[in-house]
Amino acid sequence: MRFNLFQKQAAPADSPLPPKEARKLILRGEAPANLRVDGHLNLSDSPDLERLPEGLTVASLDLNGCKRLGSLPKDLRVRRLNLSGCGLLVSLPPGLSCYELEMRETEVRELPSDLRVEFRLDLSGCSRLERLPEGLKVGTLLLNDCVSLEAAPEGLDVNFLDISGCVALRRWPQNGRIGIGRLRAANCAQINSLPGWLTDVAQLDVSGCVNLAELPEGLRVASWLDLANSGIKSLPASIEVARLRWRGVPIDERIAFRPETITSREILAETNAELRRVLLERMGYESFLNEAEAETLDRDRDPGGERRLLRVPMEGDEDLVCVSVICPSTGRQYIIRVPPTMRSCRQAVAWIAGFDDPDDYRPLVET
Amino acid sequence: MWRHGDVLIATTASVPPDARKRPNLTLAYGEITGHSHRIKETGAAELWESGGALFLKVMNETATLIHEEHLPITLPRGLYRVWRQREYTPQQIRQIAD
Repeated sequence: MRFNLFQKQAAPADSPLPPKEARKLILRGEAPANLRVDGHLNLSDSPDLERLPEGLTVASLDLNGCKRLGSLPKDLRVRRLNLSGCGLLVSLPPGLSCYELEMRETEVRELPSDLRVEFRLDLSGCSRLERLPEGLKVGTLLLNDCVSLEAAPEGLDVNFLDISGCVALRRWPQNGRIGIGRLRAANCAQINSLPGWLTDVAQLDVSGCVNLAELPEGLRVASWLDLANSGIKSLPASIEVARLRWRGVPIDERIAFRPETITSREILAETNAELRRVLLERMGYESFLNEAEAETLDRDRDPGGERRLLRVPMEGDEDLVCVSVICPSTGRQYIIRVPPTMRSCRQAVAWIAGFDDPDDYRPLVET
Repeated sequence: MWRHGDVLIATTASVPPDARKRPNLTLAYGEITGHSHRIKETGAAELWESGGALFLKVMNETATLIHEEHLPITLPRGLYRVWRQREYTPQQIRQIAD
């Protein structure tokens, strides 16, 4: 798609207004129809702005945080449009075509089927967004934390796609394209597969996709694959991955797929603090604390059973201090890391709950 | 104050004026299991969000907070603040989920 809005339209008779002048007229409610504005029109955080003049033409329009703006004029012509935080805006006019559209954290539920965005469409945090138009084609599509979205649209065509935190997303289209770019799908807990048409991607983040156990046959990942806490336990020979990452930290296949081979001695000897933290996470706090003969700083009891506060000194880094608690509902043991300054189980458990003063933490019911 | 697994709930006086209503009654999703902490009765409550903080408005006489692995908690009519427990890492504090 080519963006040729300004070339094709006949120029109105009046010459364009400077943005400052146009802003004053619009905020006073005195702007005429078919107003043309030169350059960037900043109307962000205008608390009383409810509507724009019909036929407005502007290269760049910032309406970020206009909380009373309820609609856009049908014949708005704009190249870059920012609608983020326009809390009353639930739909876009038909026929809207722009180069870049940002509408983070709006209440929009769906987009018009004829929407055209060439470069970048940012819908991050649109928690009510339920569906996207079929055949949506845009360079970069940002959908992170769109928690109501259950399916990617049929015929999706993008180069960069971010669906991180789309916790309800479970369906891919039969046909689509993610060009040689990036797919970020972190913490999409419902996803159990990636589409078969995904063949080449530079960067792939499936960290936290706990139900994703396999990648498509023949997939090539040119730069890196982040698989922290995903369901992927091995990589078949048909899949080519340049490098592995664990929440951003470069790792090798042994750390990713054979964590049982990691020892406490190896962790204590690792000089790279980031890698050491990954090794610790892969080995598990419980195994490490046992193997490294952790010192017990405190012990007491709560409704779940015995609690213990444990410490292992880490050379060149903060001490590892963890509290071991038992869930009263499930009977499961949890080992949770706390600040190294903690001295009692009570203090540590209050800190986990968000309280720096243990006296402030007094739950009525714990289940 | 109530504790439902890794989710904590306490009464509060008001919901911030800039809060946005959430489309569902899911207080928190499990990171590992796909389970969720949620209100059982549709329409019994509303969930609001402001700056990453969650607020629960129970409009019926009571609402029931449920999860696949935890006993239910009955919350009386009122306003509540909802938050997740945290875990320490040397670089940052991140929320944890069961």
